[in-house]
Amino acid sequence: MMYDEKNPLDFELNSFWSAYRKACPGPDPSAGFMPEIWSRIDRRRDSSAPFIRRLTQTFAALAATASLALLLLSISLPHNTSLLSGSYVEALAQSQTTDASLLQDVAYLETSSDSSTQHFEDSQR
Amino acid sequence: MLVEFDLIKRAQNGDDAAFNEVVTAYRRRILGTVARLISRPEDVEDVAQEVFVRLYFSLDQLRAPEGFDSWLYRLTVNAALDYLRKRRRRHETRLADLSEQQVVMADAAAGSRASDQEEEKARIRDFADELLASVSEDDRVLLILKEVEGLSLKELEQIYHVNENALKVRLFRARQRVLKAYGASASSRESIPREAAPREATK
Repeated sequence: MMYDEKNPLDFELNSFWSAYRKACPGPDPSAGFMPEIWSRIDRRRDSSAPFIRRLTQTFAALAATASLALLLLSISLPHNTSLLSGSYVEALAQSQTTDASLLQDVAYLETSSDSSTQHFEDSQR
Repeated sequence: MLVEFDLIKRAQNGDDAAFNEVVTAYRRRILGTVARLISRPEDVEDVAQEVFVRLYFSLDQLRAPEGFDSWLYRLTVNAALDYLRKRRRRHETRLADLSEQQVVMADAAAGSRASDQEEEKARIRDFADELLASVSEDDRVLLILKEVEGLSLKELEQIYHVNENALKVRLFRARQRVLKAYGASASSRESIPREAAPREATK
């Protein structure tokens, strides 16, 4: 940063900062400097411990409530036991059986409609 | 940097002995900086200890060990600012509680110092306080870091995380205010405490 070199006050102020630096030297650390730092660290650790404990307790209570709610929900909702109790392969086989019977019904309907058409044509003759 | 990267990494990993070494290496520098930032010898050690406690709890957030010095300066600046704000509040309350006569007596007691040298130092500190009262506490700290601690704009940029131009503007304005206060004092006082030889004028 450039200062106004023509301004004598600028020079005086700069020399004052230098004097201020000398008037405020860093003191020598006392014998208790380091132990005091550690005791403050310990105090802060101790003061944060109850907060963490309270936080953990709150989370545990919330998790228990959520589990209970889900349990009640699963009991109260009606559900297909065969689908839930069977394995995937069993469910797939059952579904294929349903599809096959459906196809049989369609085939039967088609055959019966063909025979009724034939019967109608014969009667016309 | 006053210590090896490895030592800081060990301290980051929870090695208390390494943290002790870091404190030992930096405590003089921090005590000096705090002394000049807060200008109250009786509270310097307390604020410096607070800096190291904050360092202990925030060390895991330090990403690059090469940024350690700026990181520590930033913690020092924040602790000093917190102290200055607290002191201002305390001072306001205390003065509000005292009668005018008590204030005069308190000033007189503060005037009677142990030795001439100490008295001169105290006079310089008081005068600096008077000058720096013309700027905000943030600007006071910024000005001291630049003018007294001799930090470069690059270093200040790393501490404050603002660009160089913004810092230059802030510093210029703060210095102009202090200069104005200095000029006003110069015209009203016979002698202003200063060094015989002026310091380098450009930076």
